[in-house]
Amino acid sequence: MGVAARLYRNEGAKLMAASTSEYKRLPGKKSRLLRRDRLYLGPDHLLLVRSLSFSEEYRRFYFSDIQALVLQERRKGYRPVVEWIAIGVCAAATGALMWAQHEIWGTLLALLTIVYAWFTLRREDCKAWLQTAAGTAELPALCRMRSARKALAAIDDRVRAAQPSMAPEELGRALETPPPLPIQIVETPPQPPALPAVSEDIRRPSPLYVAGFAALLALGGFKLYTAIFAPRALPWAMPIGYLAFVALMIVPLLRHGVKNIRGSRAAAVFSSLVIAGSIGTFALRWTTSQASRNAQDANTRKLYAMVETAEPLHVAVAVILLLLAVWGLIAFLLAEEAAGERSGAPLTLFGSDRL
Amino acid sequence: MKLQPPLTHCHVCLATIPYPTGGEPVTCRCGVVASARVYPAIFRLRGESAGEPVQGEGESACFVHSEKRAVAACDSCGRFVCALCRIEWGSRVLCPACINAAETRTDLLVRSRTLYDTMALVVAVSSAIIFTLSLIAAPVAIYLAIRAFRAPRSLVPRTMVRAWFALGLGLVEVGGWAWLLVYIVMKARS
Repeated sequence: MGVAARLYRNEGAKLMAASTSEYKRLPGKKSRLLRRDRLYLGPDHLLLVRSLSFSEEYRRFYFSDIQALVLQERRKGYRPVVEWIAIGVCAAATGALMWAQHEIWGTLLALLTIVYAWFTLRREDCKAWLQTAAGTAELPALCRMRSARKALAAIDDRVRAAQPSMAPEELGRALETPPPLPIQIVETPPQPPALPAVSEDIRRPSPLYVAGFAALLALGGFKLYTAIFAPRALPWAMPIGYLAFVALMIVPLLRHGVKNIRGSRAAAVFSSLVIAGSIGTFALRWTTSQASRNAQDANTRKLYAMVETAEPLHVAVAVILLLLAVWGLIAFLLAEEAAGERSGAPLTLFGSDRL
Repeated sequence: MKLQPPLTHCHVCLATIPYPTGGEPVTCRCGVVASARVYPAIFRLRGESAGEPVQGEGESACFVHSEKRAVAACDSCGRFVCALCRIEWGSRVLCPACINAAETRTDLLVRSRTLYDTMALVVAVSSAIIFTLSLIAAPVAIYLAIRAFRAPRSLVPRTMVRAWFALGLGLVEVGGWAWLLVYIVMKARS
């Protein structure tokens, strides 16, 4: 069978189902907002899998091509800003719940915060790279020291088996540090021409999306306020929620297509969840209030009234909504792979207008 | 024949790390512990059969023919290839090694896959949260779930639980709408 026939048969599901069993998962993964990196051992290569929101990207490193593996420990005490913010938000939400005299929910959240902080501050982080003839590549999945050691041991065995043996002294020559270059003092080194001034507007997020996120944040906060102090749903929450849902989800989906939604754009998904949840809590309260009025049976009326006045339920939903909104906002502001940085186009919620 | 940056430098203080030749861990001056393992491939000469060096100093050489100037990089493995080794496959450029591998391994050229099962699950769950949208979203979820069964799957082990769950949820939502329609019609008649 020719190459073309084999390649086009590649689109068949049966063939792919047969090929799924040859990869073995390695320890370690790195998860971000709807983005996850993992490593798999293949028969003759290492497969780096990057799962985006609705797709997977693959990169292969053949064992016979791997020249070096490097592991560097992260500095002690280093933690991403997002983790500190998450701990702070959880602590603040705990304080708010305690202040509002929801002691049970406040205690539960405090326990969860302590457990999360303990695991976060205790772990050891690291970074790993490999080198081939084509260049160097970082292995984002190996970001925890414990799992990285296990994974690198498995990779090391395969690489050694795939390459001819060599004496350790010979291999060590590649790690010898070259002597420092002699310093030559140049009186007036030639200066490169000045770079053009970078406009401040290039990396600034689009005002429309910033306003959208601010509105979501305000909606979540107001929902929390109404749940705690004024248990009366907003009559205009549903139309506003629907409008925001259409603006933040449907329009970009139509503009860029499903496959192009990745990375920081996942913030939109969380925003839509916030809106959906707001509508859901509103609908729950409104439905139960209507049903309790119309119910003929006293027990049914009592049940609906109990759900309607279940403040811990509404407070919990509102806290989750608020956390999701804050999470989406942070993810958007800390976006690393915004297409606007590369293309120079204005940065928007969905990366750049020039996709 | 040497490690290349950024592997040679500390990722925190950017100082050059003097890796021991025995491969033991070393501590940088900023306190970061690092270790490196090298393999015989680092000493492999590119294009061992060729004798002539590359003409220009700043030019890249072909991975197979070191005397030939590289004109492209393989879209699958990243190796530089000369005009002789360059094989255009549709919109992609491949090297002979990747074509040879494709003779026996059909999945080696796949660079990405669309996850229809995740898509179906997101649509189904979203429509369950906002039930009014499920009139449209539930059939879409069913379509995406069926497509997930038919489309090429992920290269790595992955169950079809998402697709089955999305299919079930979509069918339940469609059934709910059908029941509601029948109920309204029956009530209007009575």
